[in-house]
Amino acid sequence: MAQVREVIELLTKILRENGTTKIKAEIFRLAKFDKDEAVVPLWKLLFELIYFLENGTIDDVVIRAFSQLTTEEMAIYVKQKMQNYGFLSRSFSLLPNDMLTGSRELLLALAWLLCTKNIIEKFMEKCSSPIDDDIYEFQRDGLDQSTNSSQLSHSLTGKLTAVQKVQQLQQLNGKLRFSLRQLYALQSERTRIQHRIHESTQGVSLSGDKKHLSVMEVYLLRNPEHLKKILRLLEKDNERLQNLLHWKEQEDVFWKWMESVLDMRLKNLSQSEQEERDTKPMVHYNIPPDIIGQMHAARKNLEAAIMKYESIIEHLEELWETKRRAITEPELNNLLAAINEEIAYQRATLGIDHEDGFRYEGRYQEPRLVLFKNDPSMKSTNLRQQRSESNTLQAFGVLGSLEGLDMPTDIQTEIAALEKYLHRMEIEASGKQRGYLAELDKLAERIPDAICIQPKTVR
Amino acid sequence: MFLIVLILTSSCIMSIITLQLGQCGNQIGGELFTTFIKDAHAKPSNVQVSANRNEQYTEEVISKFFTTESQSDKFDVPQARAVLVDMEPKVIAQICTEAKRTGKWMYPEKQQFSQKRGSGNNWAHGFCVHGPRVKEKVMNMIQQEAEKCDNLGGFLSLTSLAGGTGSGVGAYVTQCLRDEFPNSFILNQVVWPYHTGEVIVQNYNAILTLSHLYQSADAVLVMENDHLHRICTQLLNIKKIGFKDINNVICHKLASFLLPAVTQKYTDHRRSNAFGEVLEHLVSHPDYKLLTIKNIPQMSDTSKQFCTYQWHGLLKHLRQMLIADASMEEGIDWQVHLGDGSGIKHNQSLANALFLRGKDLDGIDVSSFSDPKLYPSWILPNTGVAVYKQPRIFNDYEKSAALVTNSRSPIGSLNHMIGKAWNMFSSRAYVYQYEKHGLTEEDFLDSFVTLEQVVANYNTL
Repeated sequence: MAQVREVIELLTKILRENGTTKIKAEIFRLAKFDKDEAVVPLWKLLFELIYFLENGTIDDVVIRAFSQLTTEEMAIYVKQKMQNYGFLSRSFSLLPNDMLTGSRELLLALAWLLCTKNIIEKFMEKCSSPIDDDIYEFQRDGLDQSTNSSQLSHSLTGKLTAVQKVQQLQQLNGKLRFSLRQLYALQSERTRIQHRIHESTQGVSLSGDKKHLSVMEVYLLRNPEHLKKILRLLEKDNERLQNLLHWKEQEDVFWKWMESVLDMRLKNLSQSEQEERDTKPMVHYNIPPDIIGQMHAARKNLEAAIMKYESIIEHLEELWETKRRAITEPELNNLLAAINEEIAYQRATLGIDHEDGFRYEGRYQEPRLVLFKNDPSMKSTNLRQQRSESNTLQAFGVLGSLEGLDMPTDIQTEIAALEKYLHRMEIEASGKQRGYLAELDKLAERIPDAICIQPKTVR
Repeated sequence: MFLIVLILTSSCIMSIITLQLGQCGNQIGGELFTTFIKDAHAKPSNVQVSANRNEQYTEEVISKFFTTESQSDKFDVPQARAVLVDMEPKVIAQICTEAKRTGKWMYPEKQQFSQKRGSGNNWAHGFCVHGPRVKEKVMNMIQQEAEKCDNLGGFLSLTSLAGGTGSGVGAYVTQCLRDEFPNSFILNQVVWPYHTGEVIVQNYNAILTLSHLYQSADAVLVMENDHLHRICTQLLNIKKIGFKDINNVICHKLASFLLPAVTQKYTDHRRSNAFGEVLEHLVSHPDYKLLTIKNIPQMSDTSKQFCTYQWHGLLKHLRQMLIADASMEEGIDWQVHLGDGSGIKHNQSLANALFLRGKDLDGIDVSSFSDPKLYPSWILPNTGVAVYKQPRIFNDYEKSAALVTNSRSPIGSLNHMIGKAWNMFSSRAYVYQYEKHGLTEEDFLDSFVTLEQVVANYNTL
């Protein structure tokens, strides 16, 4: 069994290296025997791992959560998330929320999470050479200071009339717009300079997947004093990877041990307890409280709607029959075109209203640009498809996703997608414009003395 | 590897592209680049900063306003980042030769547009006829110029208000610029005609230009000929005043605003006055876009060597110039005080940017410019004034200060001009000449309303 202990120690080390609070291997052993000392650390660990799954990292939000959430809130959160992931254990859902007992159930839940969510693999993906990260990552420390927001809130709550408040908001809005434009300018500058660096370092490369140096590498060549820091980071990374490798080799020991935990649980659960537990219904945490009432209401609505539309449909069918005999071909075509246009417009509006299109999941990650130059003299059987242009920039993983970097997308398809999007936006804009103009006219009618002049841009 | 090192050091400077439109704009532009070059190449003994710092400064000025190399080769002399547009060829040809003759800078080739016939002081001819016709060629030139910049900080366009080409085509080109570069910063510098001007329809042209620029530019920087003229006679002691003298004053003002200076806004990161950042400070409210520059001291070259100044005194004068709305340090009304309610109403500002250049910059007290009474009650506390400093001596002034202000300053003249134009318009004088080119009475009315609104906005400040 000594080997088991080693493997579990390795696991705790890996967890620790990836940001969780320190946990002793002993806790695992205690949990196997359902000892209460192990309960709190395991809840914590579960919470941290769930946070990692949701956000891709474990940062100081977690530490704050520990001090700000009550034990009950945390327990319910964890249970809810676990059920969302599909862990539908009755005994787990029945664990007391005060975090006093039930360490073995927690251990099983932990093992389930590790296994089904491939957490260890995700840790591994997170390990990447620090040289790959770009320069801004390296220098971010100085920029992270959050600005003093108390000054702002003070003035916003100050004694201002409604008009003055509007003025202030307009100015703040303007400042925001200007800042965004500056940001845009800086972003495009960064891309241009990066392109130049990539272009002028063609042929010199440290890694296989690109043929030039990265900004970070050039920066390090200029500032060799930072190499030491990078070396330390690399060594740490290496160690982490080493541990992960060891884990891969020996994890079967851990899973075998987990089997014994499961056996123990089955054995210990006496028949009577079993029965008692079975009679208790499972507690579902992610079901809204008034679901039955809502379902009844929905059903009634549906029935009413069917009743209402039945007669309309009949009526329409009659109409269709009569009209079909009357209408001519060109008329039909015109009608179809009009309907298609309306549908396209409605669809565009729907697409825009769908908020998810604008929300970034997880942390925003800069697109990574790599310059590919197709060298005619080199007839490589490159996996990537040949491109018509001589220079193609490829954007990797525009949005940071937990699954790591996406496959390279051809910039042409990106452009096509954006053009499509633009088209949709245009349709929507013209629709909105019409709407607003009508609204404006309505408003203007109410104020008899006002002359309403449309901005030059809409004419 | 050395190549890369060079690229990285020369990057972080925002370049500005200048558009010289019409006769007036072109003359000012030529003078402005001369001023930049003169400043960049000032005698090291005259600038009072270390050689290293001087070199950095020079490099910054050059890369902000000039191109020094193309992708294939390095230029012999820096080329101005500028596009020149005029309907008559004479002035452009002249300033191009003058620039080349200096041997220190030149205009880029094929970035000038001119044709044979002018707009005859008719704004409509410039805006409705010439503008659409020249659009494609001019926008191509601007695009090319923009592609030479690693970091395009924005556009500075120079025009007069009164003429036909500069103002009409200028307003049109600014509109196109806004469409083509929706995320760029656009500052229009306009020269305000004399109150008793020589062109009869100047007030028409001026209101049409201003109202159009107000829609598309981020800021409109106003230079009033009457004020400039007075500076020439009373401060610079010039007997026979020509365009060149006036333009010199304009360029001095512009340069003291545009040349590198450092802000302390970001505590850890010392940044030079990026165009966008200054504009963000000054004109972030979309209703208030008019800027004026007040600067001190101004004197003839011969008097410069006999004068010394203290910062305290300079700033005291400058502040009084601001609140009493004086265009120069002579004849300031010292009776105007801030907000006692009884006396004459002071000149209220929305935002100010203070540029200090010269010796002994440490420990200057600028708190008098952040007095909350100077600003409307609704701005955020302590955001009224931004300070930019540059220890290098500018234009041989040991110490000099310039205040770019978004204040009520130009409103008096604007109101006057609207009144005069309205008088003419109510009898429909000369309107047919504008209608001939496709401008309608409604366009006139729109312009009046837009500017009346601007006046009203500033008056409620």
